[in-house]
Amino acid sequence: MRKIYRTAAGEVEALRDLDLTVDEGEFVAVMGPSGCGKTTLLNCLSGLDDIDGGRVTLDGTCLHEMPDSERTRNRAATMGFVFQAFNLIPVFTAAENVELPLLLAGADDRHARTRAVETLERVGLGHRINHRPPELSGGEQQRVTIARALAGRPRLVWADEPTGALDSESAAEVMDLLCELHATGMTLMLVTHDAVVGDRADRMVRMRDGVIVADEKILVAAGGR
Amino acid sequence: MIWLAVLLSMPFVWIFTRHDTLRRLAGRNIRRRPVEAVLVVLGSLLGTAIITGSLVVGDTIDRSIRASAYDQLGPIDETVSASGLEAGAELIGRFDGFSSPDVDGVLPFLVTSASVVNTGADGGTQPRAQLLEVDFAAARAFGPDEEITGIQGDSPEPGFAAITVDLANKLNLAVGDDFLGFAFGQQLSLSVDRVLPRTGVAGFWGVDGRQQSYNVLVAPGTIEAMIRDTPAADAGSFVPPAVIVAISNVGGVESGVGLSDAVVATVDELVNPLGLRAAPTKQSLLEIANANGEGLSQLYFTVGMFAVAAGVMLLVNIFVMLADERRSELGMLRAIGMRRRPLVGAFALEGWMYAVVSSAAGAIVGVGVGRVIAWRADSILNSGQETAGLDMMFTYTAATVWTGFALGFLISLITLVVTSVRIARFNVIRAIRDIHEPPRARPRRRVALMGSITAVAGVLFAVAGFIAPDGYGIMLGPSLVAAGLAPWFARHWPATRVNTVAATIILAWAVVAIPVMGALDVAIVIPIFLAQGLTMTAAAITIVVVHQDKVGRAVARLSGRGLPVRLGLAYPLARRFRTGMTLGMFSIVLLTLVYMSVLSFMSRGQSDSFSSNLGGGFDIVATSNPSNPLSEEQLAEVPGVDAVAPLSYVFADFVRGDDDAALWPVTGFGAELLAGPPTLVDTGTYATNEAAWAAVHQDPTLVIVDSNFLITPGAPGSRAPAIGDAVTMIDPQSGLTRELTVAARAEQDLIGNGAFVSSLALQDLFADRATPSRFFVSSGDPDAAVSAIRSTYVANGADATTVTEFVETLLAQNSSFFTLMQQFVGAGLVVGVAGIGVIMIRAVRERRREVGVLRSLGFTSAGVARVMVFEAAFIAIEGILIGVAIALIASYGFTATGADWAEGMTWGVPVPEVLLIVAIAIGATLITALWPAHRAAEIQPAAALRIAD
Ligand SMILES: Nc1ncnc2c1ncn2[C@@H]1O[C@H](COP(=O)(O)OP(=O)(O)O)[C@@H](O)[C@H]1O
Ligand SMILES: [Mg+2]
Repeated sequence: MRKIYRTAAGEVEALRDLDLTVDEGEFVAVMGPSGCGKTTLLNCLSGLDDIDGGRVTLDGTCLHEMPDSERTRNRAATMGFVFQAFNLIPVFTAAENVELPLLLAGADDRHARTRAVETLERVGLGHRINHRPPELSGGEQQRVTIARALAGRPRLVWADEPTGALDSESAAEVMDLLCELHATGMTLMLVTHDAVVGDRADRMVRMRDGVIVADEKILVAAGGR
Repeated sequence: MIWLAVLLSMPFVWIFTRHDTLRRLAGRNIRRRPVEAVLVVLGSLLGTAIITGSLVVGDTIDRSIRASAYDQLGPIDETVSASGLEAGAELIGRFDGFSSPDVDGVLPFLVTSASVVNTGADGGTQPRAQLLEVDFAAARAFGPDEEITGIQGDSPEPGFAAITVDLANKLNLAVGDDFLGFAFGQQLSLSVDRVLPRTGVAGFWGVDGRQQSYNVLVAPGTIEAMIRDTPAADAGSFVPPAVIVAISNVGGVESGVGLSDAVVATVDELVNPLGLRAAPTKQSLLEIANANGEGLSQLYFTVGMFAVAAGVMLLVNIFVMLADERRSELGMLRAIGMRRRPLVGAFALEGWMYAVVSSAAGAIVGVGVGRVIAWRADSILNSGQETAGLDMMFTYTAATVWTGFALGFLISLITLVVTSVRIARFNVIRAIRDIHEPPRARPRRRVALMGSITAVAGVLFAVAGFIAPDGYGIMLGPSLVAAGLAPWFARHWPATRVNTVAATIILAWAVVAIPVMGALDVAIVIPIFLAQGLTMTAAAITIVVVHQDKVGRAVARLSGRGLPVRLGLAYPLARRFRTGMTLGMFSIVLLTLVYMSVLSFMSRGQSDSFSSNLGGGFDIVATSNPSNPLSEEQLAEVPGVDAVAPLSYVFADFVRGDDDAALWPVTGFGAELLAGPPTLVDTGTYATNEAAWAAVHQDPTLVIVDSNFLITPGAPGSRAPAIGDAVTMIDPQSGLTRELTVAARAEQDLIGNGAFVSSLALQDLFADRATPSRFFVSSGDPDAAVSAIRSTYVANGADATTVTEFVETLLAQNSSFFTLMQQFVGAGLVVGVAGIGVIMIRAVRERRREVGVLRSLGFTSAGVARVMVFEAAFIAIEGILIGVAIALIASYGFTATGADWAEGMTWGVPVPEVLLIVAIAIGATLITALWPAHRAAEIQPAAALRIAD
């Protein structure tokens, strides 16, 4: 896969002929210095962004050959996102934010609300259901985002520096949550520049200047887990 | 005004020149988003354009009034007129050796009405023209300046005539052309030897109140020769010529008027022994023109203000959005230690730059708006057959443009300062985290205190209003009390309920106040409706905004709770202030448009009843040249004419109570009319219509008037005399008076009959000037009879019009006047729709990241567009419905006033027209929302999510 950003100031080759295969159920951490193309990789793999060469296949179908509407539907059905900037809808309450993907997938109102509340309880926010994002702490907001990513029971979750804006305690809580999810069989791809966070993954992909420089499986024994 | 604007700008200019960083910060914000900067400017430009447009119309009206009084009369300040050549000679004799320090000229001349025909191929007929005989040399020396006498050269030779430019245009006459004039049963062949302007002596026009003068200036002795040739038997069957002595006061055209009272007194001493009196002609004309002009100006101002109100709300909205958008940026800068003042300064500076550009451009565009309106108003005002029109002469002064600029600029600045203060108050943390200030559970004590002060002021205002009585006090006083008490109550009871109750009270009072004013006999000036409309809108919007969540839930339920609907409702519900402003913008405009359309509909709906009431048993009004009138027999000979009722028709001064005298037409009728008199709307103490007419015919002290009698057009407020009231009728020439009592009330006078008295009463006062030259005619085929009358008696200046046509023309004129007003307010609709566009575009910007999130969650781009369109449509439709509802309620209240000017109006709604207005408003909104929606749909999720702030 190749990705080039074209700007007035010139072209930036963000991903250069990068090749990566992820198996179902894996927990992949992508690490590297800032600006090496981690976010770009995630956006291109998930189909949020277009690519300039190569292909991304998901279950054998080529993501970028689908029309945008189908790609969008695919996202709603199979993927969840957790971003560094929490990216919640500020005028919606926590529960309303979490409901969104369910409603998009066609769930009825009551069912969506029940699931949203359940999921929020599961991430420990049962007492913040009717609060709006600006009224929540960073860790709480990120947990709402995770709840939103989970509510639709996606097979694949993309997380871009989910702990980047959090203190170490909140970060640990968030990581615990993500690991729990992974344990239920979900495929998880997580971008981070925090080695502690990266250590909890099954597999570590290191990037530099738009290419993968290392790809190693972390043995369970290594982490003692 | 302009100095105030300059003064208020000083701090901004100071920042601009002294603070490079702030200037650069503000400049970069503008450059970063040029489209939005342009939209902000466009939105506020419209507001200024409308303000300037209204002012330019004011200038134009003012100029037109001056034209009618000053330009047309020129050096003529007072006149004395005598009927007939003998009385005239006596009058002129009186001025032998006359001199007064206040007077710089005396000029006698002779006039008589005539009809004029151009027999050439492309010619025409002017039934109402005037022959004027004056010594040109004397006329040129009359007054301070030869130019303004309108007279050029020496008196015409016999067989030649100088004509005024109006007549030349009307009849397609040029120098060298031949034409015919008719008067006193004689025919005059004349050749045009020059064309004179409508000014001074040449433009003197006493035939009717219109601003034309169809004058034919003939050789001295011409009129006398014509009368001499008239068979003796016919003498007395025409209105004799009038000798007029014009007097010029010392001083210029305008300053001379100040001496009028003194000169009238001096001249009265001279002419009273002859049974004549001096008339302050220029002064009276100015008064009438001013009254007419004021009514018009008020109307334009009021209607313009509705559009301006929409513009102001747009301005407020735009700056509030600007502030909201900058909140987190500003909060961040505050957090890193930037002081409050420079921050607010940068924001205000950006706004100030928008304000300068948009006000300047708006003032210029406003001149164009004024031009269009003046032009449309002119064609409407002069399309009818009424005898007193105002020729619109488009003009504007530099001062007006400056004032328009300054007003628009000040409104922008005030909005800017208020929003800046709001910004300065931001809690840094809230700003950074973009938390909108939560509504307070209970108003602060300070707010409650201010409310109490408002309430006390309201009580005083209301009491004063009821005592005076004064419409504004009655309308606004109680509303202020309710609004002022609300915060106090809200400290003890739930705010939602308190606000709802207060707003409901205000809304109800605004409707009821108008009938209450009617009952209290309060003069309702037009701007009262502005106060009413604004109050009702504010109250209704308050109610809706307070209950917005319920409205939202209902809409969501109705539309099946789709996700786009929920998303589309989320922002309007969360940003109530903005939503309220946008709602206000729409409802104020729709309110005005629908109100106008209902009024127009009601006035059109009266057509049939008007025609049958005004005509009674007659179908046609025929007129002829008073100095060469048709006879009853001549008319009866016309094929298709069944019956003829001759009418005397003169202008008399009428005085009621302490009012000034007003020149008004009066019709004298004979027994012939009793065969089928017009239908009265109130027969007073008489059992039947016929009995009332018969009584007035018998008794020369009785008079029948209509509801417009002595009322200045365009200024509903004064009332016509009621049945049983006394009015004094004065002969303007002699000053002789007759006391009259109102016996009955006629249908609204759309055909210029004026008051009705018996012809005996009129002849008693006006002698041979009351010779009948006007007729009511009945016919089985009115249209055929009309053309027969016109073509048969050209020499008599015969003209005829069916009553139906009179009514229809006048009502059509009314209705096009409403249309004109609607077009004026339509500018407000442009503001509203453009406003929605601006707001949506800014909303797209504000929500880029949210759109990115939605897209990452699997929301399609079409879905995003639908949400945006739904949101725009929701606000627009809500605002539109509020506006329509208020218009219907208020117009209903209007017809229930019981005031004279609402008499005979039955409330009705032109459903198709209202639906069309609503459809246009919604359609325009949807079309406008498409582009922002498209932009929202185009947002690339990956890029949008990258925005880090
Ligand atoms: N929209 C864009 N336009 C131009 N260059 C971009 C854009 N987005 C990212 N880049 C560049 O692409 C490279 C990779 O960016 P990114 O994927 O955000 O890095 P990371 O997430 O690893 O910090 C960087 O050099 C960055 O400057
Ligand atoms: Mg990144």
